[in-house]
Amino acid sequence: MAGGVVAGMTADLHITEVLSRAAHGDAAAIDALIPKIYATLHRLARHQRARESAHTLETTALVHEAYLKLVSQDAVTFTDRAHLYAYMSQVMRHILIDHARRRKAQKRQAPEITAPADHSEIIDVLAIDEALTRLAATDERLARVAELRLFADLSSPDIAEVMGVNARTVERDWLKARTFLSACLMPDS
Amino acid sequence: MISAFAQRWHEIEPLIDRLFDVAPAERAEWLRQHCADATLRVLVVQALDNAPGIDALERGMAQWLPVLVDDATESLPVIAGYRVLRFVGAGGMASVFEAERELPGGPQTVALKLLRIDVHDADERRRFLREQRILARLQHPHIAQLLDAGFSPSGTPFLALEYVAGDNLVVHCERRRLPVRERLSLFIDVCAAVEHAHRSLIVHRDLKPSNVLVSAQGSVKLLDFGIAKLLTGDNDRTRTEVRRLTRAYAAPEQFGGDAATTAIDVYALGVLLAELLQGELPRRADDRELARTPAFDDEALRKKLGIDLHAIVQQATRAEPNRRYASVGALGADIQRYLEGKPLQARADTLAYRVAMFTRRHALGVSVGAMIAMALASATAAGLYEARQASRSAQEARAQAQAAESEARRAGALKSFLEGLFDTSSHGTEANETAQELLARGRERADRDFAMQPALRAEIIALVGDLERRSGHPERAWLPLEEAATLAKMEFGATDRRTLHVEYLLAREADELGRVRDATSRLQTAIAAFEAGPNHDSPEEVVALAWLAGLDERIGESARAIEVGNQALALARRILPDDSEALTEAVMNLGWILMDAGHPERAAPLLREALARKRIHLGTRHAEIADTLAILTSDLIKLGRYGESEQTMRDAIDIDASAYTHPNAHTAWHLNDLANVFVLEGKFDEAAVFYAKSIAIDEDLAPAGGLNQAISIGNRGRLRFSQGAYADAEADLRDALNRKQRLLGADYADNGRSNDRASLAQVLIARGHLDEARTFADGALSEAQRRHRDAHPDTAFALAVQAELAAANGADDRAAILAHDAVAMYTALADERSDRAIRTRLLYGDILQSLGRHRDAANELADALATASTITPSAPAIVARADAELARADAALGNDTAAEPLRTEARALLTEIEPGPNTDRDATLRLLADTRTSKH
Repeated sequence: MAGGVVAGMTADLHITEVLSRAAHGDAAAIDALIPKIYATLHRLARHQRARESAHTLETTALVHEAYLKLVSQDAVTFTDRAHLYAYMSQVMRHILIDHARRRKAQKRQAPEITAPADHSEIIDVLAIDEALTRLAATDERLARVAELRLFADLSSPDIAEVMGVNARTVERDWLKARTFLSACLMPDS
Repeated sequence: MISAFAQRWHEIEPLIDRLFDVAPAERAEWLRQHCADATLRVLVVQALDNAPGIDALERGMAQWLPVLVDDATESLPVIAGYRVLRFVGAGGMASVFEAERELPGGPQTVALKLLRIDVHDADERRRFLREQRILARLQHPHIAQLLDAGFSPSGTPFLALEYVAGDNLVVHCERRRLPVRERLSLFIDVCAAVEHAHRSLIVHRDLKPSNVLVSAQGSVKLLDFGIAKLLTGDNDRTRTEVRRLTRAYAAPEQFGGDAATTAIDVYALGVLLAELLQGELPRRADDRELARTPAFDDEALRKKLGIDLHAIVQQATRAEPNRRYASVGALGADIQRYLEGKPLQARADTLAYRVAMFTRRHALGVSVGAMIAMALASATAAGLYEARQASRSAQEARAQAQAAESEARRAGALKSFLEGLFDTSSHGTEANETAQELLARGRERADRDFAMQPALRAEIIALVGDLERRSGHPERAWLPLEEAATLAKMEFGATDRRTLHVEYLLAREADELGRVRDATSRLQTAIAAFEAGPNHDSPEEVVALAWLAGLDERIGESARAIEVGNQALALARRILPDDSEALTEAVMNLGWILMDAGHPERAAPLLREALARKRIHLGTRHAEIADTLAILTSDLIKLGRYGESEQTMRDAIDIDASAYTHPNAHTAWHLNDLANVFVLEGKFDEAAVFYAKSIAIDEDLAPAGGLNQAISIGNRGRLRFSQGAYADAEADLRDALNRKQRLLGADYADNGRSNDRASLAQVLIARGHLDEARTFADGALSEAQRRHRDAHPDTAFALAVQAELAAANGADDRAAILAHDAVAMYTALADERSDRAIRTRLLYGDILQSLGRHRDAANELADALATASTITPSAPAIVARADAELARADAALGNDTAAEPLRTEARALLTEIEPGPNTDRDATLRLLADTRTSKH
């Protein structure tokens, strides 16, 4: 993470410009937005938890709300839904990877407020990222479908709309991508 | 797998594309038909069968997001005026970054804390800044200083604090394996910091290990003071936001949303203290109900921390805030007191406890604090009931009520005087104050405060004197006690029970100074005077009589001692209520006297009764119970009850471990006594270990060497004798003799000198130094006979050693007479089952055989064998030896049919003896070998 670059960037650029650059896949722009989105996401999650006693989070709603809130706050109108979702999924992927890396590197444990989830059931985000990169090198379309599904939490019809293909194809692509990724996640024996 | 799969993806993809349309059950068959490559088939099947992986992928983001949200770590933020360097950590309330602040003198490293709270409107911003200004004023060497605060460009509030690099307190201590004292001294710094904040009306509200760091320089630094308040506010949001607090450290009332008080910091510090000391996390409370239960497993914690520290933790973590320490300062002060060995506030504010702590702190000689406390308590309030019982001469109910009232006043005045004396906190006594200074102050106060109340003054002076004696300074006790006795006689008259009590104290004092005979006559006079008056039949008389009996036994007047002891006990049973402690003392005393005088059978029931009574008075784990168990043990071993003896001593030592914070003279005494039991059981190795432990404690307590140590050294000499290490045995016994002579002087005569001399003579005989042995054996016998006109175990032993010496000199006829007398004396005493009595019979049998009196020998040896066989659990060494001796006598009588089974039994028993040197085994083997050579 190039902290200096990020800091400089957010200070200098207006949010609209950053978003537009991010939406076109500018990695540095995405990095710059992460803390902002992250804080929003976190605030929302906190409020949701305060409202509800259950510890489950409506993830899709939360993520979408976070983006919409961010976007509306800065009066950015995203007419191109496809761009928004593509951007969302990329940002979220970055956030999760970043988080996983930090978590790994961080020796000092933050005090736990809630019991940690059972880690055995959680797949390593970093392994998924690696597999996804590998998949993108083999079949970019499958990788995009998987990214939208995994990191933007979109349904097949939504993905179909964003990508301009029919839902059946998306469904079949997801099955294939899922098989590829799960094979990559299997422990070497 | 990954690379193989990815490389062949172009082959796999078309296969799985079609397989998705095939029913799962038929896929394997389908693959066999459409794919000839077995490796490829395996790759496909494995990928499709990876159900866990597929499930996880289907769950998607739902599985990562909660972790992400909770464990939030943010990218480096942008704050004007700071250069944010790196992410440090995150908690429920904030993310922390290391940053540099630009200052005129150069950059300053700070911890930048971004708070996860909404500060939307102007009011909230103002509140935040107001709080921040209050916090900024909080300055203390152990609190990380708040340097700055403000809002990030996005409106997130931030705080800049002094940057502290280091581990949290618990980790710091665990890593370095710091001893308890060092942990406590760090904890005191924590308390000082929190107390300082409390004085500025700032409550931390979220104290926990991660907020207490120890810097590289080893200095404690508290983080996040008052930040919880910034985060949760004062209002009703506290209730929901308690989720943001760390539950295990949150006081129960925090779950209810009660107002934040300093009491919640006291609670959190209590939990932190326990965690710091036991190195374990507290039990996590999940809701209000659970929070009402103790944060720790009480029993386990008590075991780990000991009574005092456990009491501190308990006092700090009580569920009801008003029952906790009133302040953090009070908590810190109690820990300081613990470190200095002073009485704790957390422990019941009782006189007994204060006195016990005082004596522990000052290591007041042999007498334990608990005993002092008991003596004092009975000198005050406890006497009330008995006094009422005894004042039957006051016939009218009105007079009785008056007597009770004045007794209560007297008790109250004494009690408050003593409490004042021992309340070291009230006059800021230094830890190094000596017992002497304390008692001098007590004396001064007695003269000043009670000048107009001569009666109370007499009692207080007597108490001070008695304390001097108990604290190991009998030389300073004499004067005040004499003065008290004079005052008492003037104030109360010779027939008053209070006068008798002071005389009793004076008699004890005289005894300790070695003036046993003085003490006896003085106490006799006092008792006679008391009995001549109208007020007889009081607990004081019982105690005085019981003590007089003890004195008689000490000067060797066993018969009179037993008579007076019986008289005291009969009186006690007649006039005292059944739960009277004076009655218990009378029972105990008589039991002790009987045991000492060589009547173990008669002593046992009395000692057991005394034990049962003391357990009722004091509870089962009182230090004095351990002492009573030790006395009972010395009786049980004379009855051959070795197994029970061992258990009894182990119980005593177990009680010591919980009753005393540090090993003391009593612990050493009890370890020595357990070793004595081991010797009798033939567990020589264990015995050696326990003598060493006992001696080590004594050396610690009195580097110059005390009486206990001399006793243990003598006992170790006896152990070495049993092992056949005669040179070592001689060295130990001489050492013990010299030490005791030096320590006791003329008093040694009343403290087992005869016994020690006889033991040394025995060793010298074994070494062949018969001339020197004669000196010691003669000295032993003449001393024993001079001291005990009646039969006594000391005399019997001295006779037995004389017999041994005569036999060694070839004077078998004389030896037989001496041995006969010794055996007869043990029999007369009903002390035949003691180890020494059995060995004396064996010796007598041996001597008779040398004289050719095989028939008599066989009779004695058969008796010895029968007695040795009653020992429980069986004692293989001495029984084997008796078997072999008797077999030889039987063989000499031509009775081989009787001899052979005895030899067989002896051989079998030899295998049961613990390996290692053992003179009984050697003797048995020699006897068995003799038989063989004489046969062939």
